[in-house]
Amino acid sequence: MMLLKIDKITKHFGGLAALKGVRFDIGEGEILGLIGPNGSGKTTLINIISNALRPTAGKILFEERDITKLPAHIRLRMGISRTFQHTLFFGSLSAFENVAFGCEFSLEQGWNLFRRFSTRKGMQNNWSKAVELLRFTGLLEAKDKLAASLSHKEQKLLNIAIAMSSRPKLMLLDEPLSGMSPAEVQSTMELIKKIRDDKEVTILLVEHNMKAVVSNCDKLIVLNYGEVVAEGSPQEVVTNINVIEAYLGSETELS
Amino acid sequence: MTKRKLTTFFFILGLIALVALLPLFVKDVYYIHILTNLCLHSVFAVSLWPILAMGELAISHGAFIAIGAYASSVMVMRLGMSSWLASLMSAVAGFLIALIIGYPSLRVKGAYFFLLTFAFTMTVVLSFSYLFKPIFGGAEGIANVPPFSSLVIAGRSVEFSGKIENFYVALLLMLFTVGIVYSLYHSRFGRALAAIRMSDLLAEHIGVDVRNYKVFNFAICSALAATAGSFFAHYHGHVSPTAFPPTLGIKILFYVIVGGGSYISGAILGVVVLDILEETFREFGQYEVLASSLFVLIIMLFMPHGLLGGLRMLKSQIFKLLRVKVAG
Repeated sequence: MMLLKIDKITKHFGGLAALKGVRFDIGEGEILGLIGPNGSGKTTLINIISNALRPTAGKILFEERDITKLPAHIRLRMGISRTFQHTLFFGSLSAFENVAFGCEFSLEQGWNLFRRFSTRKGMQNNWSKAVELLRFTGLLEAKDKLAASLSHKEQKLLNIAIAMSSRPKLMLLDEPLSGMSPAEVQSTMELIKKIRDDKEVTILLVEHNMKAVVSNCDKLIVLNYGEVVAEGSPQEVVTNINVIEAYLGSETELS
Repeated sequence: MTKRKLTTFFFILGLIALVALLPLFVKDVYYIHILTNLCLHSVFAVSLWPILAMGELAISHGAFIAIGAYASSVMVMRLGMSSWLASLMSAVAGFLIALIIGYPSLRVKGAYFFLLTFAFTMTVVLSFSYLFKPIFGGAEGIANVPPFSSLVIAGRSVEFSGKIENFYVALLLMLFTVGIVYSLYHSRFGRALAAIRMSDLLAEHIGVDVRNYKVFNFAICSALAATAGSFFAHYHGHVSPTAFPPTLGIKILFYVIVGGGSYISGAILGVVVLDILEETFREFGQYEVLASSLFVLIIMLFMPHGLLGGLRMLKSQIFKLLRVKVAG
């Protein structure tokens, strides 16, 4: 079943066209890899899906509903969450508090202007959920450390845990593997697969690490200069002439 | 309640009782007047505090005080409303105007929002000076605003023309403001504001309705400022544009920043210190502003977390010294 449909999304920054009529679908339960050289518009696309940016033209359909004009927090409640390329968290709070904040606000609980907790039970519910998420992502031991003092890998995982706290249907992961050692890449990819299998979350993965993407994604989409140049299974895509040209440039006769 | 919390609770209760009983011992009207001003300025500072707590600076607080004062005076003098009802209505007016101003201007943040509130302040002050002269009285303002109308409390009619009665009104207003701000900030709403201060981008992506929270917070704070402005009008009996210069907003920012931005009590501490300083330097005439500004400068340079932050650091240093001595 179709979960997300990107329909002819175009984004201009002044005179620069970052995305030119991009269209593709994400099916439920897929791990979809979005790759492309630097500046090809991958992060712009993620920003548009999560509404950190508004598209110039085009439509986004989530579960067959047009969400192009909905604000970010509504999209989150509908089930779209994301991580950021530059790790983003509340640095002065502990890892646990970061995830607990995520659990607290992602659910529609009203504003609760004056009461300390919506209900004490609801609060404890959030707390146990946060602990469960930290255990799932393997951060349980670092739970009381300040988020800013975690290692790079732990910070990346914390971002994933925060994104999971809203119980999303679709997670947009923006370079979750950047700056990791091969062993860390391996374990993080296993975690991402586990999120898909255990939590039934569809994943849109933006990555530069070709090896990890090719061996773990169900389907790949290649962007170059804001256009989809190839789409298909990893094996098809890596042999596609357009993709090779996008990354390595085209062959020219020298003689 | 833990023991520590209980101690704090009784400490605060004792402090309130002490302040409330002060007029029994202090007979000099001058000191009562100073105390009233301390309470009033605390309302100014404490009601500005949540705006800083969501990571924005606003200079518009002075303008909302002016709006409250003028609204209350106009309603009492021109419409013949009861002064208590007029106070309430001025809070509503402040709330609504803040919603109208806040909704478009909170699209931007940081320095740009600060500049917008400055432009709004200038607009308000100049409007009161030059527009609708028959209603607002132009540069002269509105004179002879009556004090709060008398109330029957416990079978006795209480007049609000004296200093002492007004001191109690100011004290109650202050407790009310602190109560509202405290409970707002220690709720889900307050945690949302903290999230916005730490990172508004992430706050939005964990499900906080950033724009609406910000606008609502701004409106609540401004409504409290307008209530304080209404008290100002009935207490001083005279409102004019010169009573609410654009620098009033900056002065209130100073209170909060000098006291220490992380705690509500810091705002009150700032008021007490800066006001006492102002009174002591009064004899220097025009140099008084210079002296207090120098003080603010020194505090901001050497105590980046304000007086309260400085005191906390001092406390931990002393404890460290003591521990070394005991251990040695």
